[in-house]
Amino acid sequence: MGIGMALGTDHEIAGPFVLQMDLQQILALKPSSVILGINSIQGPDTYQIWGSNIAGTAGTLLATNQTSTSFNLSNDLQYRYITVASPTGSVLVDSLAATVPGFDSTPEPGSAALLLFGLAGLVGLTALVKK
Amino acid sequence: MNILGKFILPSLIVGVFSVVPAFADSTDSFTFTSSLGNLGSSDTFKSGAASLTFTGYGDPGMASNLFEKNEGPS
Repeated sequence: MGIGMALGTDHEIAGPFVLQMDLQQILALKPSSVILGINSIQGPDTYQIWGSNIAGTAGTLLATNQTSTSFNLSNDLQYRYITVASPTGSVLVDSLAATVPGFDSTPEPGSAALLLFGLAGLVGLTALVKK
Repeated sequence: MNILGKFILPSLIVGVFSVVPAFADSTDSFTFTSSLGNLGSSDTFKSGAASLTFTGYGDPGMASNLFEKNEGPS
């Protein structure tokens, strides 16, 4: 399953029908890596990745003749708009994963176990001292 | 320092450090699944606090409708 274009070949990104993503909110998180997932790459299908800071404009060609099901955008995070095109084939965009370094407000499972261990020790020792 | 102080203090320290949030990477993953078919010329997907907006284009600058589909000919 993925996103294509209603008027493209097989309803996919094909020919002049391209898909543009606005990464503004993701870039605001200052991700360390952004991986784009592409599928429905069959036979001679290839795709291009373009970067731009103007909506509706493809801008700079970042990669062409791509056949991989994942494309690493981590070196192209200066562009707010990423366009996927397939001039000579047809593909779909199916996922995007952005890794954000920093502060995770949820304690890791190991830390939670340590907390429980500490509390249990506290309760046990308190009872021991009361005796 | 009595026995209570000897053990309570280390236990409290352990507890405090345990609840300090860990510095760890997090990943926002977007999987683009919505209802199959025509999505209009723009669609937005959310993951956590972030959202990602797609816009389809035919000719440069001219909006064109997106389409959600399974792999293969349709």
